[in-house]
Amino acid sequence: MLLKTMLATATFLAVALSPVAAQDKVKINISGSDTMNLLTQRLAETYSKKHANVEISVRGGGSGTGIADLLNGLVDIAQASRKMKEKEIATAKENGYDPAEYVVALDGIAIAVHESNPVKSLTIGQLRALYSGAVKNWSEIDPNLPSAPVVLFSRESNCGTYDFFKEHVMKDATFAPNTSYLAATAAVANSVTKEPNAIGFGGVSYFVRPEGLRVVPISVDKDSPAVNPIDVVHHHVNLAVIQDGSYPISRPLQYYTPEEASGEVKSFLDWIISDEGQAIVLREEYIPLGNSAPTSESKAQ
Amino acid sequence: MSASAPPLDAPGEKNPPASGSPSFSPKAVRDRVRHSTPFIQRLKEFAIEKLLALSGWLSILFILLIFVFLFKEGLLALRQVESLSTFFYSVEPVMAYDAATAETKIVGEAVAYKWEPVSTPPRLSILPLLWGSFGVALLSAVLSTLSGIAVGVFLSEMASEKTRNLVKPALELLVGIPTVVIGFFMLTVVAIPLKNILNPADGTSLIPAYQSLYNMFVGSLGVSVVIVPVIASLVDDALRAVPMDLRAASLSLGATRWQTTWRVVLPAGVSGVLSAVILGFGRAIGETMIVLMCAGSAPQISLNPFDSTRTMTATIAAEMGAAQQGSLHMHTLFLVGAILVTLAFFLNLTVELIANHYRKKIRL
Repeated sequence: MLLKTMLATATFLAVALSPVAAQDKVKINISGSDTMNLLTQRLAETYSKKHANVEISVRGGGSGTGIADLLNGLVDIAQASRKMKEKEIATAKENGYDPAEYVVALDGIAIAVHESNPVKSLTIGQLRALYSGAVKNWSEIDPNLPSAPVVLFSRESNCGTYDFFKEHVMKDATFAPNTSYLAATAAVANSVTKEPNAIGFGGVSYFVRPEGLRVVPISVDKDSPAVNPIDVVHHHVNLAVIQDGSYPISRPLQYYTPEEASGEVKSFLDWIISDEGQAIVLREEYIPLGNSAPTSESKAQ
Repeated sequence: MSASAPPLDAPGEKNPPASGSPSFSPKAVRDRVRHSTPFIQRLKEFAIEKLLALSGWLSILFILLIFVFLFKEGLLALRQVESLSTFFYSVEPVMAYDAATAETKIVGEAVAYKWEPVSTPPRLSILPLLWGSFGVALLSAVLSTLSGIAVGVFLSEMASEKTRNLVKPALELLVGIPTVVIGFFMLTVVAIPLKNILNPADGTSLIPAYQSLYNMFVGSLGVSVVIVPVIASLVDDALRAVPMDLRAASLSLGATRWQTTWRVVLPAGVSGVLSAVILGFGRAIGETMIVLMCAGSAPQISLNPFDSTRTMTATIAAEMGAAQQGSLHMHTLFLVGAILVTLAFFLNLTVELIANHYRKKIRL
């Protein structure tokens, strides 16, 4: 009896999992950015509900991992919250690929402090001063701020948010050695709520309903206006300022395909930038492309 | 045994006595037993014996393989860098903030010890990680050695059988709690009240240096939860191995129980106590989850035990998944792993040496 059941189960599994059964389905493999993982999963779910012949599997691992997978021919799409680096494009060419880039959504990095911190706004230069350790006390930024040591939180170095922050804010500076690297944006938000002198950063969608912390408006320099990426009254992301690029730390989220997309992959990508796809982007609290978004399809250099 | 040796020097199996009385040399006995045992049984015995031997050898083989693998991968890192100084320091721009323009500019260069593996070029100083690991391990050893030994002495010398039967299993359970649970507990329950007590916001601070919520001290406290029972249990075992005669002799000479414990039992069991402390230290060096969760994860060299820190183990756990195959980052993580294994090896070696030394000295 037991043997029979086991045999039956084994046969069932073998049939269910056999490549023969899956052959009439088109499989799209996606891996990469953890920031984009949730978004891609939602998009994939909705899309495969409408297109029964398409099966989409989504894996995280970080933008770097996704691009590496793409270069090794392991996936059809790499999701990346940063642009491909020169070196990666060169490797792609060596491997006989000509990667194409598709911007699918936008994202901004919010800077958060404890709710008791009175800081009104910060410039990119001030952020760099804080995170590079050039300024160790809040009062050095502004004498009106409390005289208290700055406690720094960052994301772990494997994520796109870190890469993006490093490239756009830190530039040639390295992080101060007392920066705590945390594994998730939620952990950063959580830690900032508990440390009165803390500053942290993460994707804007995490800070839509800030409790115990405050999102700081950011300006490019002293003379330009500070922009808040969050509409603090209505609790949603301030879409316009990210779409038109006036919020200084915003970025495009993109998919890379090994070649110019075609077939099912192409129709998936087209669907994402359609109104229906962008509605999901908005619902998942990322930022839809909007009118003045970068061109949705441009060749990687 | 040479064939030309005179029969007197080589008695036994080679020269069976002429009288016909059986030889009782070990080999002769073994041979007789062997010949009188049925073949199948001998086969079984042979198989079981070899299987047991094999599993013994396998554990050695695995350790060797781990060593070879870690060092092979780790040493590749040495070949990927231009200078070994990469693993110790880098020269970094010094940034200065100009309040008038609200800009931050480079004003000079200085030697820095940075662990920033994802940057160009990668900053891979292992010094802050070594600092973090030893800092956490030493601090936990300081926090837990005395209490661990005290609990062990209590269990072995003072506790009634009933108490002991209750406390010892509880201790062993404490060792068995998954460290991630302890880390979670420290993170959510202990860290915040601890800071509020030691450095409250109202300025009546006991320790003004206590600034970071998650720091080396909180991490060490969590690690101590694991190693106090380890030390206590091992000390208890070590003291119980001290013969009763010694205690009886001491007591009969008029010593009090305390004098007996302090002057007789503890010195007699000192090798076991030392081993317990070193093994606890080793456990603290290897501890990963607790320090990953509540030591703050900041790779810095700071003399302040209330600053955030990052250990070698936590770094491997946090970064191994994302490091690119074959990259310098990945190989450096293997190098860090090789350092950890080497440390564990030498700590265990020390334990063996201590045990041997005292065994000879005391002749128990």
